[in-house]
Amino acid sequence: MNKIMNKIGNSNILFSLMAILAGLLVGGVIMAITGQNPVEGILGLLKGGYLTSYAIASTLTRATPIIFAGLSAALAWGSGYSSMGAQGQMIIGAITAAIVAPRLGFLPPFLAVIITLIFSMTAGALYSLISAHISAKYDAYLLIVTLMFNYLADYLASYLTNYVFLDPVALDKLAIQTIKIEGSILPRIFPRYTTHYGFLIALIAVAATAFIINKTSFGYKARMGGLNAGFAEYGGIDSRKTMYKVLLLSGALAGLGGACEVLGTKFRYVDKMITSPGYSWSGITASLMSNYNIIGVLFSSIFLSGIAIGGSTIELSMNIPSEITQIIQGVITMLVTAKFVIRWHRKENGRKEAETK
Amino acid sequence: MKKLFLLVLCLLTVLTLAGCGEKKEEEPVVDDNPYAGLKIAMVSDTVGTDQFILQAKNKLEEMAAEYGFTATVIECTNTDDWEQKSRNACEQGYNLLVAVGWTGAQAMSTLADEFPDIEFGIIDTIASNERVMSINFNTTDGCYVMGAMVATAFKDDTKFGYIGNFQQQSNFEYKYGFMEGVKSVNPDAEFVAAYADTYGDTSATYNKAVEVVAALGDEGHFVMGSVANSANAGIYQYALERGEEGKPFYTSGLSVDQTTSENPYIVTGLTKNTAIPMETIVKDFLEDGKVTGGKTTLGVNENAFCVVGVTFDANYRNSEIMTDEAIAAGKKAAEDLASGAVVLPYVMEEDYKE
Repeated sequence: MNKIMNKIGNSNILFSLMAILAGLLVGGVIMAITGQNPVEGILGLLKGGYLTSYAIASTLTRATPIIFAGLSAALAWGSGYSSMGAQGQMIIGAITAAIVAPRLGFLPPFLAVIITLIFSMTAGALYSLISAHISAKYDAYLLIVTLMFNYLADYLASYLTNYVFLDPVALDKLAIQTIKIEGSILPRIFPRYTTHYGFLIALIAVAATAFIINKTSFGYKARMGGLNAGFAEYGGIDSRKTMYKVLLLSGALAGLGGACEVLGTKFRYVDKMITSPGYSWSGITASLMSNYNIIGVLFSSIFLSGIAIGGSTIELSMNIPSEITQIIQGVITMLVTAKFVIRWHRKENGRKEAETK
Repeated sequence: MKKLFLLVLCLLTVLTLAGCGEKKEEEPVVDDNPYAGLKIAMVSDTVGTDQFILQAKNKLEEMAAEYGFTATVIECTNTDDWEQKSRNACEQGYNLLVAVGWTGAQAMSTLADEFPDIEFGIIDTIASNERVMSINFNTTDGCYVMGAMVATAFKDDTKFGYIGNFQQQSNFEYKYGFMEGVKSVNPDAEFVAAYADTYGDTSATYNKAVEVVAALGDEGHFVMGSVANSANAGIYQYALERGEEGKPFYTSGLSVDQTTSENPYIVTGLTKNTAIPMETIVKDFLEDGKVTGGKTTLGVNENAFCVVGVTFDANYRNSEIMTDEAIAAGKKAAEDLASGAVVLPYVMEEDYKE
């Protein structure tokens, strides 16, 4: 049994595939128990998520914010900084976009969108910097600080939306949302499908982040820090400076993701639009699935998004409750997280062996 | 090798179970029912035990059985689901989508532009798109009825409390109706209002209840609970605690009849009956395959927005407070609204003077 666990722990792709398979399997078993045909169900899920043009388009639309959150998480965690702040930074990026974009109506749309994106990236980066600073200065756990800052961002955005920037022309008086952005938006790539240019920006972000991590000296320092912080420090890498830079970039990516969601799908900030669908949690799962591999995040994000989209398709066409797809996602997440337990277990065993020798 | 064995074993399990999964036989359509081919979907939050959604769902299913169309309920677990799942339904050939709850407004408006052959409706808010048939509740009238009833029940009080969710126009429509109702009985009444700034946090509403009750002092014993169905629980909790201490204050429920013998301090309430708007939209659609777009408002006289104790009998009536006289005052207020003897103009909060 130990052998199997070791082997699985060694191969990331194999492990993730096993996790996916196990997730689908458990989903299938539950479908069977509830009297559904599991084979039809799983096939329907895959077809509804990936195998028709409409499915692919919907999947890519939903994957876009997940990719950004996943990149943000992969960058931070891969460099050894346990930041959970993608959610808060996305919210800050989103609300910034919703405030800035409607005020740039006098500019050509293309320019207005670029400026808005820059504003959102900056806002996300600065927001991330605050938690980095608190963590560094007061020696507080970054994980806890960033987690708390997520709530702060959510309530701040709620407040701004409700009391300062509430849509004055909304007929729907219960809706807590900012004014609709006209013109300066990220249009759809094909008019018939919801996928918008934010997805292309996500692809560019993946390529740029991969380049930074793999081909620059900053990326090298960051990776070293992730692999072995003590060694990196010993080798002359200023870990605090690297941490600031990594978290700045990670915040910028999340902020950009928030902006793309506002400019590409909702065209305004709607209260809880980032927290409710759990984009950042899916993003963290995606980064775990790919073992913080930047290119891998792209695929795992699309996979996770497809499961959700396919799930809603079979919910409608086969009357299979959407909870089943949530269970599949839950099992995958659990198993992927288990990988870390296996690794940790191995590390601990190794250490104990070394100590006894 | 072991791994491969495990994999094969797992696959076999699934395939065996696949055999067990019973395939439901589809019943052939026998008659030439004009509604048989129609597919209607209700889009809502997770149904669960929420009466607000259940009433609409039950009505839709009842009508599906009566007319023979296909009815489906699409449950949304997050804000993104509304548009994505509804779009899915549009792609799968549904003819009418009815969203229950304000969260669906944006999605219905967007899809109505994209799918000109599909009809859309929404309950409990107004969608910005004219193609969507929006049915809203006239909350002000119902609150007026409750205000008149409560002011009669608490004749000696000079102050009345109010706890809302957010200080915004939609909540003001409740507060305004309540204040006008109270003043119709007691023109000199004063009001203490607070906002919990939440739809879900019961501790926030509890704290606001403490503040408001302290501000009322001996001059008031009723606090209208107007936060949300679940978040009102903070107010109920404090009412129960005060009652047990022998210093009671009384409050009202929201969305469903929340009066119960376990907490006799909840003496009345306001409920929305979503079955009525659902029926209105579906009937309108079945007539000619199109819905009348735009906005319709249903209120206390259509039994769509109800006052517990007036529109229907309470689950539990605290007869010491809700005397026959108080209930008669409520019924009288409803009649006045129906006959047009009392008309409450639409007022924006910033223009209103207490």
